[in-house]
Amino acid sequence: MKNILIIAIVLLFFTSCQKVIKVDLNTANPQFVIEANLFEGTHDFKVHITKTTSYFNPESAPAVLGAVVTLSVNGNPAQTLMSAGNGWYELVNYTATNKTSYTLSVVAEGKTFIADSYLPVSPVMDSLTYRKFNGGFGGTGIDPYIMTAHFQDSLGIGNYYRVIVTKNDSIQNQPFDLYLLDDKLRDGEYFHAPVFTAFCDIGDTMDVELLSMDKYVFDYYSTLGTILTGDANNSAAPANPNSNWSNKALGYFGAFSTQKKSLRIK
Amino acid sequence: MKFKIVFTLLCFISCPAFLLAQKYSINGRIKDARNGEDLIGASVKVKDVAGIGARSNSYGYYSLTLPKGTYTFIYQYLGYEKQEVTVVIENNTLKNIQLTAVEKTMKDVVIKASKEDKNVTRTEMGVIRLDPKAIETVPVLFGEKDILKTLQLTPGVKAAGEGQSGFYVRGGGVDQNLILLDEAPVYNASHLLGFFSVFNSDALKDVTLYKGDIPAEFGGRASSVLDVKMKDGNNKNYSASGGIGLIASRLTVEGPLVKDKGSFMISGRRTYADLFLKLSQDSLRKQSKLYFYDLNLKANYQVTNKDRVFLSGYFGRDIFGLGSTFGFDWGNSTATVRWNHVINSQIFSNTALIYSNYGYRIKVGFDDQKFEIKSSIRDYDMKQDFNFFPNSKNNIKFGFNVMHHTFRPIEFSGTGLNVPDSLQNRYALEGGVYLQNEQNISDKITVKYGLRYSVFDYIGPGSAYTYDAKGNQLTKTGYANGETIKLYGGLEPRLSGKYQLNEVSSVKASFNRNYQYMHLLSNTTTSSPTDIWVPSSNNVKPQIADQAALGYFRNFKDNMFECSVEAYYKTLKNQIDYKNGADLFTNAELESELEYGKGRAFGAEFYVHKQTGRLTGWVSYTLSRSLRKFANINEGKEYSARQDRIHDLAIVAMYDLTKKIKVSANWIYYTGSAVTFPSGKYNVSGFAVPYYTERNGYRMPDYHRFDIGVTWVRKKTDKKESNWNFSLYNAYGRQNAYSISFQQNADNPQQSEALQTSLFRWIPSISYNFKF
Repeated sequence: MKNILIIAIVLLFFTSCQKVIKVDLNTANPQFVIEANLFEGTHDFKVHITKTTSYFNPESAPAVLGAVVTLSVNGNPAQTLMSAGNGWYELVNYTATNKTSYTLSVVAEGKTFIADSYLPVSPVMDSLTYRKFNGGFGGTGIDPYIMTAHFQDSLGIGNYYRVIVTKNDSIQNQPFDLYLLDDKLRDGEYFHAPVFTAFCDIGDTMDVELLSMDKYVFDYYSTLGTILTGDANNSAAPANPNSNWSNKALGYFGAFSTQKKSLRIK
Repeated sequence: MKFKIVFTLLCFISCPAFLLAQKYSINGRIKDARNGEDLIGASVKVKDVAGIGARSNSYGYYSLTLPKGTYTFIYQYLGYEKQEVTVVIENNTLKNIQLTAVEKTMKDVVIKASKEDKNVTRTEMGVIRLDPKAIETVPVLFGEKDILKTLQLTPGVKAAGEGQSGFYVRGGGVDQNLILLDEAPVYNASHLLGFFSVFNSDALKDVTLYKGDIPAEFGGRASSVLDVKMKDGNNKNYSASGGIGLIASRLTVEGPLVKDKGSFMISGRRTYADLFLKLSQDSLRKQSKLYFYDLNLKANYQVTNKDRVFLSGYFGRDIFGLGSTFGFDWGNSTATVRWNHVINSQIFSNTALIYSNYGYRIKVGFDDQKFEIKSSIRDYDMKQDFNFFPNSKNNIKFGFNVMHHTFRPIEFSGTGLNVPDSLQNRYALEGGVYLQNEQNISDKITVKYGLRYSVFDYIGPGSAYTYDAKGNQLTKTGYANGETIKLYGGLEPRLSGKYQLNEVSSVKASFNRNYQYMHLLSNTTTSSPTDIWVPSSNNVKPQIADQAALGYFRNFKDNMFECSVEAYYKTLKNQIDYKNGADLFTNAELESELEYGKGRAFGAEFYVHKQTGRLTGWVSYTLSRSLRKFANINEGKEYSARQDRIHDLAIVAMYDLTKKIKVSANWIYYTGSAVTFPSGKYNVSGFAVPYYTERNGYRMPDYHRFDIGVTWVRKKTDKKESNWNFSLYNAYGRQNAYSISFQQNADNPQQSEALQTSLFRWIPSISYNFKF
């Protein structure tokens, strides 16, 4: 909201100018970054372990090798992931089921990191519709159609969703594309969620994926979104996203159930 | 019970006046001879008797009690001709006085105009008074006169950001300033995200900012009180004044209701930059709206010699719209009804009924799907103040107020869409009783001691929650209508003293405690219309600020130069911040997302003000720190508050080049705000994510700019006046950083970069002002 307003005011009144500047930043001691995504059904389960670098370093993040990564289900004995090189660890053709708690444990360079994630039941996305949108900013540069996802939220607060859009085979993954929904204020209702993050035009093929996750993964994404879209001076002081990893590791371990629908705009 | 104590104290203090019979009072109002406006803080002295005197209060009323006899009184007010009146005092005497403003005609100004030494002789410290007239030539952004921006050029007051009307006082937050417009609290004193204040200078008479040494009659905010008073209106003649500027126009009409008995003033302002949108070819842009307007109204009537009633109101709104799909409007409205009553020649009473409302409304919708969000805060306040002048040595003020607050955090409504549940309204009662005496102990020593007892009653209907340390809900309790959920109260001592070293210099000291029971939660650092106020509750404790200050005041060259140095140290308890990722907008259990900590601020303020002559203006320099400490932020280590800017310097100069041409200039420099920048980077989910270590461990680049303005008086007679004003903001075009964001290079996503946005470079403006 505030961003729209600032843009509007700047457009109307002010001569703003932007330039890339040089800022002298400190480099913190490298921290562990662990990202793990576990999807319902049978997929390769992949975990990526890296470290932080200095902010302006153009090279990719340094990989953490030789880690011992284990996955346990509902507290049962753990399975060890195979190293796939370059900081990747995987379980090939692993089957994850809903209503299950998973615990991932990482031991690397003498440190142990543990995260839990619950894989919830996904609601059925009944349909995906689109309609003409009489809005948008300045009327230019924005496609004229907007999609709406329709699904039934299950009763009981605590359903958390993320919508990922693929437009003409290209995943929309800019900071402002991080679209999160929860049922805090509309528990148990039938959702008509307008996909404000991706407008479309005639001829586009749109894939919409609805991810369900637990509170902690949702919290990670929403705090991640805050720092990716905020600007350092005018937002409240930014902080690192709330991770479900113990021992101050960055990143997250998320277990997701998903629903997907495709649509061609005609 | 409390009142009994108050009255016993009063009797005790005033006893000597009754015991030594044969004492009588001279009392009345001091007004401007030309338009009948009350003169606030005008002084009355007895000729040839040192140390006896009085000042008119905020309604122009004064009272002085003396033994029977014949006296010559000197009535004085800065910029007005001194008046000497000889009166035989044999009984209580009513003496209304009209002072004539000195026309600033270059050379004789120094000779005729009264020059005041109030800086040195008054007990108060940490106070800034602005006469909207005196600062009208100071160059400002877009040529829109703005008292809040001019205040930011004085010591101890910092702008909340480039072009912002929000301000920090002595290291406190923007929400720690109590902003009063004719006694009504104004909750969001800005338009268009803070680029303009809600105060239309044309409608204002007097602006006083208390940075410390806050009088006991005020309470409710931790850092400062900004007391803004509207003009009463000319009670002699009808007149109109106004201005036409690049982005806004203003018109004020005032005149007598009944000559010399009552007057009215009505003032309006509207921006119209969006009218240019209508010229656009683009249909959507044509349908877009973005403007604000203000309306100020005031009327007063002298019913009898002893009674006077005032009615004042303010209404302002910002309106933003995009075609038919999106609408957003917000604004304040306030109303005050007051009754001044002279109980007897020694006691003056003021009763006020006050209403204040701030709210916003967002409408989103296309075709059959419509959605509306509303939020507001509303106050009803009843305030009773007495001013008692027992003798020439004491000036006693006492009174009480009771206020009812309604907080409507968010209300949803709509059709054809999922409409979320609205959040419950919250209610509170806030009140205070106070007693203060300013006592002249000797020629050299004056002390002011006051005590305020404030209470805050957070009441039902509603639910109250308790949480564990992690913010998980433990209990939920329902409360009935009017039932107390949590009651707070506290004593707020307000002490100050002055020691007059000699005729031209004095030393002053003060100590103040202030409670703040309402808190502003904001996701951003600049003012946003959706910022919300929340009451103190079972979870949120009242903020408490203690401030001690010491000052040295010295005037030079027959009061032509006012100089002062003030040092202060302030501690802040129960400060509020949010947990990472807190949802402040639509959260029923907002309080589970808060963190509590403490803060401290200290600094020294240097001020040199040249009051008279062809060249007027001031130099203000502040050296200060403002620090915060929260257990769960920055690993529990103390860190810089955002407003922790070490150096602040402002130079303001106004020069009368000829009778017709006035030149003015500002130069402003300050240390960049404390800010959190990344100290590393990593990749997650395809995003390059900045890694943060220390809170506010970096600084924005230093800020400086130079503004220049020229006022060309085309015509000036007694009745008519017109002038052109030209100004250039940021004349040397410095690219001051409004924000610095960290992002990936669009062409090379592996490369991170820092992008600086600057807003205003070389902003010229022109306006035409008239009066007839």
